[in-house]
Amino acid sequence: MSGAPFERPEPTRRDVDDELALHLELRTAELIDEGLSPEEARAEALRLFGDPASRGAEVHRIDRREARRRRWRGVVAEWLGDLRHAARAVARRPLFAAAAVAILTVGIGANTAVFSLVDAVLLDPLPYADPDRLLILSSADAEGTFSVSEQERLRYRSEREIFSGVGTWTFGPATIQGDGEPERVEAAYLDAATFAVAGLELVAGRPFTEAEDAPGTDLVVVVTEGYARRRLGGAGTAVGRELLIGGRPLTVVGVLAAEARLPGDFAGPPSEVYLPLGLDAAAPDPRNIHYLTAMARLAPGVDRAAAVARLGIVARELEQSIAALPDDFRIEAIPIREEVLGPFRTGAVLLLAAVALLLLLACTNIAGLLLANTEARHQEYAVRAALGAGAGRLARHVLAESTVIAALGGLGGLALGYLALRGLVAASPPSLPRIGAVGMDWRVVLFGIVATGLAATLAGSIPALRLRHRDLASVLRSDGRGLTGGRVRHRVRRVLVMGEVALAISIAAGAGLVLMSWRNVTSVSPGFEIGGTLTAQLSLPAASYPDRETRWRYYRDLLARLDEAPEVEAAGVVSALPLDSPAGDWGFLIEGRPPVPEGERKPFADRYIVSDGYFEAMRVPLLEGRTLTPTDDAEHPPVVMLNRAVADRYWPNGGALGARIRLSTDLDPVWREVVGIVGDVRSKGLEQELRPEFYFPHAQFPASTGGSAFGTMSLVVRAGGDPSALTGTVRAAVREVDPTIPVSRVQTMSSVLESTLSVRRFQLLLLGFFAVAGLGLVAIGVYGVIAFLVEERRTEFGLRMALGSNRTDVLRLVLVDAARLGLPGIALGLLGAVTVGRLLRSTLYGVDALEPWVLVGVAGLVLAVIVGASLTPAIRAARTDPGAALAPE
Amino acid sequence: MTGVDLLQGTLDLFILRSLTWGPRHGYEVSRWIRASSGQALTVEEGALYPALHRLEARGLVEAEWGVTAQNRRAKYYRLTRAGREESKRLAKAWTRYVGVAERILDAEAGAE
Repeated sequence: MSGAPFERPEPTRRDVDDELALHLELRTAELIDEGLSPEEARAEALRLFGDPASRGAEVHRIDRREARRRRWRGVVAEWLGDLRHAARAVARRPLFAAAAVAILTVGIGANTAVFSLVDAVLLDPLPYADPDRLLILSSADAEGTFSVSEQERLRYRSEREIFSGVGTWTFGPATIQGDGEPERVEAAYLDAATFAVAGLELVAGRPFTEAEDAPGTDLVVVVTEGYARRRLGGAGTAVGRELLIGGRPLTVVGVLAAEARLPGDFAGPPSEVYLPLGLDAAAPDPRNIHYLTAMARLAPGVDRAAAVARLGIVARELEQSIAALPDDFRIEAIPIREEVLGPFRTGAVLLLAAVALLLLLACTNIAGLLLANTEARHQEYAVRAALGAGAGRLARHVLAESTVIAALGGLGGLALGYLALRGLVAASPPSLPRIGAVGMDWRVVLFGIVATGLAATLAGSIPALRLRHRDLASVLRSDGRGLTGGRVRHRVRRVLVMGEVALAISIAAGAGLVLMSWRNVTSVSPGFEIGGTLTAQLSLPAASYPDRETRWRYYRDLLARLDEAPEVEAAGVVSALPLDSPAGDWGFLIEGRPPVPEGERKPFADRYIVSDGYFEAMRVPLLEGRTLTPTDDAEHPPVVMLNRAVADRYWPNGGALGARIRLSTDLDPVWREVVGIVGDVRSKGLEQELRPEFYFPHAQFPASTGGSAFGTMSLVVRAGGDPSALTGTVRAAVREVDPTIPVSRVQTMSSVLESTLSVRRFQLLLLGFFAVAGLGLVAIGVYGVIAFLVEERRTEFGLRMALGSNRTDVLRLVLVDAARLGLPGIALGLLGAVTVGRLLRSTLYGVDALEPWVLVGVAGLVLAVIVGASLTPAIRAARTDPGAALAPE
Repeated sequence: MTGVDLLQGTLDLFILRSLTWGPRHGYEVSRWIRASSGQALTVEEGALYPALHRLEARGLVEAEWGVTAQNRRAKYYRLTRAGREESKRLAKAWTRYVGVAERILDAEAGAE
C-alpha cells in the first residue's frame, strides 16, 4: 500500500540535551586522561564546546522545523496516495465510473450554461446611472397600457416635485445616404433631457442640447460606437462628421458607449443613430396621439409610492383637460428593472429552478451509485478494517473516490457547459435582452467548481457516513450472501430513487405542457397563407417624397413593375406587416347609428393601409363583396374593407356590406362604403385573440395622418414557387424605380412566423433537454438499484426456482419490485408537476396547467423508463441457475 | 591554540567524511576530525551538532539511538546513499579548489 510513511517520534529537547551532555562528559573524561583535574577538565570541556544551552536550543529548532516539514509531506503524500488509490478503484469499474461522470457532466454542464445565460440577461447591471430611481411612465385604461402623448409628456416634465427629470423618445427607421447604397438603420428619436435622465454614457463628443432639440434647429445626431466603428472609422474620428439622414445633413456631435441603450432597445437590433425628437414645447400635437415612451427619474427624497400617488391626481387632471382621453385614464409608473427584465424574470427563475433540480438529481444519483458500489464492496472494506484501517480512513477512501469522479465530472461539465452555452445563444430568441453579452466568465467557472465540490461532498458523505455506522465485523462473519439485504440500506436507496423519480416527473410534466402548447400554437391558422411569400420593408425619405401623391405613385410604379415579372403571382403593400409590426387601433362611427353614450367605448378596429393586390398576395380569403382594385383611388368614391371580426361585432345581424363608416377623428372626415369583408388574420401573433381590423386603400388615405409612417410600407410578394428566389427580382425592381430607396428586412413570411415562435421554441428546447436528462438519470438510478438488488437476492431466486418457480415468475417478481420502487416517487412527482404547471401557466396555450393527459402520460412514461431500466437485471435474475446460486462458494 | 579557521561549508564535508567508515555518535565524529587534522582546527566543538542535525534534515545522514561500549545512550549517525554521494562530490570539489589555489600561490612573477 502506498501512502503512510513510517511514524517518526516527535523530536524532544531532552534527546538534544542528552546528546550534548554525552559529548561534554566524554570530553571531560578525555581531558582528565590527559592529566587535568576533574574541575579543570570540566571547565576546559565547556570552553571548547561553547554555550551548551544556546547550542541545544539551536539544534532543537532545526529538529522541530524538520519535523513540521515531514508532517506536511506526509499529509500530502497520504492524500496523493488516497487519490491514486481512488483513481485505480474508479478505473477498475469503468461502467460505474462512466455513468457517474456522465451524470455529473450533464448536471454541472447544464448548470454552468444556464447560470451564464441568466447572469448575462438578468444579473448584469443596467447601463443607467442609479437605475433604481428610474420609472417608465405609461398611459393606461381598462384595456391595457399604451404610449405617452406630447401633451402628457409636457405635463410630466412640469412635475418638478416628484421628478428631477423626464426623458421621452420613440423608435423608427432612418435612411442614411452616403456615397454607395443608401442604408436603412434603426434609429431612436429622443429629447435632449433623456441623456441626463438615463445617464447614458458617451465615449466621445457630447449629447445634443435642448436648443439643438427644438424644431428647425435639430441638425445634429449622436451615433453609437458600433455605427461609428462600422461606418465612420471609429469613435475618435466620428465627431464633427456630416451624415445625410432622411435627406438632411446632420452633424455628429457625440458617440454613445457600446453598452448604453434605451429601454426597449435591449432586444433585437439596437438603434444606431440617436436623433433629436424635435418637439415644439409651445405647440404639442392637439390630436393627442400616443407614440412616445417616457422615462422619469424620481426627485431626491421622493419614493415610488409618493410619485404614484401624485400621478393619480395628474391623471384626473389630464383626463379633464384632454378630450380624447378615456374616463378611466390612468398613469402607470413601472420601475425600469421590471420594464426591461420583468418579462424574462419568471422564465429565468424557472430555468434556474430546473437546473438546480437537475443538479440535485445528479447528486442523488451519484450518491446512489456510490452507495450501491460501497455495498458491493463491503467485503473488501471489512477485510481492510480487520487489517487495521480505521473507519475514518475508510471514509476518506470513499470521499477520495467521489472527489476523483467529481473532478472528472466537473471538467466534463465545464466543457459541456461551454458547448451548451454556445448552442443556447445560437437558438435563443432575438427578443432575449443582452443575449449578445453572454459568455463564460470567471464567476461561472467558479460556480462550476463550487457545484462540483458540493456534488462530491454530498455524494461522498452518505456512503462514508454509512460506513462509520456499520459493524464491519458482522459483515465478515456472515459471507455477505444473506437471503435479503439490511432494511436500513434499502430504505436509503428507496428514498433516493423516489426523489429522482419525483424530480424527473415534475420536469417532464413541464416539458409536456410546453410541448402541448407548442402543438396548439403552431396548429392555429394565421388566416393567410404563410408559404410562398416574400416580404421586405421600404422607406421613402420625406425630402424626396414629401406628400401622399408622390408616395402613392412610387408604390404604384413599384407594384406595376413587380406584376410584370413572370415569377410574381401577386404583390401588394401594407402599413403594418401581420406577425411583425403592430397596427394601432382607431375609433370609428357607423352611419345611421345614434352616437355612443358617454363612458362607453366607441367602435374601434386596428387600421391597415393596403394597396390592391395585398389580399391576393397574402391569400387572405374574401368572404363577401369585392376586393380592392386599382380604381379605388382619390378619383373614385371612398371605400373600406372589414375583417369578419368587425362585421360580426358591430353588425351582429348582418348588413355590414354596403354600410358606411368614418374614422371618429377629423383626419379623414369622409364616409366610406364597406365594399368587402375578408377573413380574420392573427396579425399580432398566433396565440393572440382575433382583433377587429379594417383596411383602407393606400391610394385614398391621406398622407398627413401620422407623419412619416406612410413612407414606410411592407411589401408582400407571392411567388409561384420558392419565395426566397424572388429576392433578386424585388431588389432589381426597387432599384429600377428609384435607386436611392433602401430595401431592408427581406425575408420570407415563414421566417417572420418563425421569429414570433422563437421564445416558445427556446422554452421547449430547454425543458425538453431537461426532461430527457432527468429521465436518463432516473434510468441510470433505477438500473443501479435493481441490478444490485438482483445480485443480492441471487440465492433467494435460486431457492425459489429450486422450489418450483419458473423464469417468468422471477422476471415478474423483479419487475413488480421495480414498479413498486417507483410508485411513491411517481405520486410525489405528480404533486411537483402541479406546482410546475402553475409556474408555467402564463406561457401555456390551449392547455390547462393540470392537464390530466400530460400528468397521466408522464407518469406512464416514467413507469416505462423504470421498468425498462430494470429489464436487463430482471432477465439476469430469471436466468439464475439454481444449482450455482445455492452451491457454497 | 594556534590553528586554521574553518572555511565555510567544510565542516559538512568533514562530518560526512568521518562517517565513511561506519556509524559514529557526535563525540566520535568530533574526535575523528580533531585527530585527522592533527589538532590544527580551531572550531567550537558545539558547532558540530547543528551541522549534524541539518545534515539529518537534508537526508544526507540518518540517526538512530544506540548504546556505547560503556553502556551509555548515544545518538549514532550513519551516511545515507545521498550522503555518500554528497561526500564524494564535496571532496572532489575541494581537491580541485585546493589544486587551483596552490597553482596560484606557486605562480612566479611574469608567468603568463
